[in-house]
Order: sequence, then structure tokens, then C-alpha cells
Amino acid sequence: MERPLFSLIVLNWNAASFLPACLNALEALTYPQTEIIVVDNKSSDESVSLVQTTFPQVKLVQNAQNRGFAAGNNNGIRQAKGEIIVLVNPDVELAPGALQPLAEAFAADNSVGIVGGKLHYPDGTLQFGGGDIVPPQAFSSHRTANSDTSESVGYIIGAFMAVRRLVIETIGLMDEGFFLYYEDADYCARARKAGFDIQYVPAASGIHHESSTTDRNTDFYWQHMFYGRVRYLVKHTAENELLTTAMPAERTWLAQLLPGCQRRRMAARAYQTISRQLPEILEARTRDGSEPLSETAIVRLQAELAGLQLLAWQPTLDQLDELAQKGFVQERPFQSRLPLVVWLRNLWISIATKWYMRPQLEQQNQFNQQLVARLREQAERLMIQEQALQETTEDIVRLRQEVKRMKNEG
Amino acid sequence: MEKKKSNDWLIDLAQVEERPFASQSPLIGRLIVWLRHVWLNAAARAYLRPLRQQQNQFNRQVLTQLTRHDEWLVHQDQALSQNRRALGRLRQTLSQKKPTLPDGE
Repeated sequence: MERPLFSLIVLNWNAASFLPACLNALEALTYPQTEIIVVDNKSSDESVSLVQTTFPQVKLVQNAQNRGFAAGNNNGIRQAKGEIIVLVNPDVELAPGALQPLAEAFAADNSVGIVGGKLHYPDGTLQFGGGDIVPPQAFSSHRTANSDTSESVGYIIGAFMAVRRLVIETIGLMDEGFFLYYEDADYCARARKAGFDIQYVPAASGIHHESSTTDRNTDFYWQHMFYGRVRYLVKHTAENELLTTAMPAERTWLAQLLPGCQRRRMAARAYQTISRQLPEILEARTRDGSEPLSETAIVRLQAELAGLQLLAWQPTLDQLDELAQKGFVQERPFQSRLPLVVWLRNLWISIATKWYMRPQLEQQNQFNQQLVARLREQAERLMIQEQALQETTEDIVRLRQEVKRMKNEG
Repeated sequence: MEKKKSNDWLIDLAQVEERPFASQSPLIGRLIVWLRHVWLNAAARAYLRPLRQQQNQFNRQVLTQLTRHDEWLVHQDQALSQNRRALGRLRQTLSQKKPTLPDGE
């Protein structure tokens, strides 16, 4: 039986320190029919020269700019000749026999469209054993039980994902609206809607130094993670479920995040971007196999997104109460086990400092309270502006729909 | 326009600290510094330290709050620009669609 060609695509962005191990592992694969393509997403480190000098046999695609994971990989897929396309992160080192089980899974069942393997952290603990997208909010979850069994799963992680060419021909390339995170889950959902099965095959394995190129505690990480999740939600959730289950769950979840914390602020930013891009996301929703939302639902969704942004910022006001308390600087009583010492100390402080300092303390406290009052005024104004902005945004959505209707009516 | 990146420059100013006392006096300068130190220890330091700590804590929180307001403002600036652009596009589309009115109307 003829073995299909595997195109191994490594999308790289500033991962020069991982690339040699990744590419050496790919070159050591026992499967005989492979081509290796490195797509560089405009790295600023020495990745490109490293590939050119150390791995000249590897095909190098240099993107003019970093447009994210999906767009970068799509450029690689366009160059690929293989029957099976395998996306491999530069921080993944595949085991030498990793491709054979994938080939077998594809050969065994024509309906299998996407296959992924088992990934471990460098310390040997399980990182990925199949994944699911959990309703109602589309949080991703990695399976840990039964990780040694081949089975159908919700999604395969993009760090090591094999795709049958027929899937690409049927549903198209990855959605470039995702910059980073959730493009893999989105692609699996689209493939499933087109009738393909998503398989996890543990015999195909590798090591994943996860998030080595993206720090998890950054605004960037949370903003893109939240954006990806909500984009996925809007694209793949049925209208009724989206409005009656997912959005209320989103509100509850957001409300319990610590006021002013990074995740809450980044969620606000993600909702804002989703809100702005809603027309494009709704087009992608229909294009990628979901039922279109009704016009009423679109208006309601826009209002929900506006409400979420407001909720994300609101605690700023609540925190000012706490700040006002802290603004009252107070004398602390001197403590000692000996009452006489306390009495003498207080007397001495009273004579030497207290009456000199107290008026200054009162002035400082007055200033602190005025400062908090000004901050409160600012926050209230910001809140009013936020509400006005959201109302304007909703009006624009309605106007857009009206213009669209006018266009359709000629 | 990128908003002035944070209130980093205020962080140091928000931290009220004791400044070491120095004397220019050539001969008895050290003695004056020592006496001053002893006097402050006895008379004021223990009383002032907790006050200063509270004020510093307040100052830090004010800065955090200011930074949040800045972020919120940037967020609103962006939203406003988006809305302006969207309205501009809508206005353009509508002007192309505007029905021609008869003369005099």
C-alpha cells in the first residue's frame, strides 16, 4: 500500500531556542514520506538564519508580518504537497515513531479528518490526552483519564494536529480571525460539522514545552485567550443557547473575578474587540457551518456584550470605597505589656510630637479624601461615558442592519 | 496617540521616605547628626512610622486606581474611534443611496 506524504508544518515566532530540537526530532521520524516546512512569522531572533544554515533541506516560508497562528499556518498549508498536513509547534519534540499511528488512524477510517497525539511536559506529566470544549462558555478542557485509549474527542490541540487534505478541501483553511488560541478547536468544530471525525491517538506522542513562547501572565495571553473563546462561542453556539445559557454564564463568571484584576480587564478588552468585529464574526459563523443568528438575536447579543464590558469595568467604583477608608491615616496606639511604659510614652509623644503633627495629619487626610472624591467623579464620568458608548455601538449595529436591508431591497 | 505609558514616574514619588539628616558643620557636624538622630528616635520616629506606612499604602492604591482609569480611558478612546469609523462608513453608504429630491425641496 502506498504511504501518503506527510507535510510537517512548523510555525515559528521567536522560538530559535526550541527549533533545533524540534527539527532534529522531525528529521529523526521513522515514517519515510515527509516534507518539512518552517513558516516564520517575522521573528526578531535568529530563527531564520538558524534554519537557513543548520537545516538547509527544510523548506522555509517567511511571512512579512506576524498575523497569528491560523494565518501563519495557512501560509504553510498553501505550500504543502502532502496528503496529510501536520501542524507542529516549534516547542514540540515528536517521538521517532509518532507519524505511523497517525497514518494508520487515517487509513483505517475515511471519515477520520483530524488526528492528534499525546503530549507530555518535559518532566513527563501529561499535557494533552485529547480535548473537549465545555459548554456553556466554551472553556477548553484537556482529558487526563483514558489517555492511553484511542477515541473520538472534542478537539485536538494545534501544537500537534494532523489534518487530512480532504478536510481542507471541504471546509477551507483555518479561520484567520483567531490570532492565537481556539483556532484549533474552531477548526475541529468545523470539520465535525462537515461530517469528519476527530480522533485522539495516544501512540503518536511527543514532548511539549507548552507556552514557552507566550507568557501566561501577560495581558497578551489573557486577551487573546478570552477573545478566542468568545469568538468560538459566537461562531459555534446555537442562537437560543448563546443568549439564554452562554451569555448569562459569562456574566456570572465575570462577576466573580477579582475587581480590577488582569483577567477582568482583559476580558473587557476581548468583549470590546468581539463587539467591534461582530459583523465579520457572524459572517464567519454562517460560512463555517452554523445557522445564522436572527436580527433580534444580533441586537440582543450586542447588548449582552455591551453589558459584559460595563460589568468588567464597574468594580472600579466599588474599590473607591475601600480607598476612601485607607485615606484616613490614623495614629496607632503604642503597645507594651507595662502600662506605665505606655503612659510615659504617650505623654512624651504628646509633648514632643503629637500636637505638632496632628494638624498636618488632618490636612493630609483632607487632601486624601478630596483625591478619592475626584477619582470617584472621574470613575462615574467614565461609567456614564461607557454606557453612552455602548448605546452608540448598539445604534450602529441597528443602522448597519438597516443599511443592509436597504441594500438587499435595492 | 499612545497614552503616556502608565504612571511609572509617580511610583517613586508616592513612596514617602525618611531623608538622612546631614550637617555641613566641619567640626561638630557628626555630633549634630548623631544628636538629631537620637532626638528623632526618642521624639517622633515611632509615632510617625505607622502614619507614613498608611499614607504610602494609600498612595500606592491611588496610583493603581489612576492606572485603571487610564486603561479605561484608552479603552473608551478606541471604542470611540471604532464608532466614528463605522459611522463614517455608514454615512458614505447612505449618501450614495440618498434619493434625489426634486428642485426646490
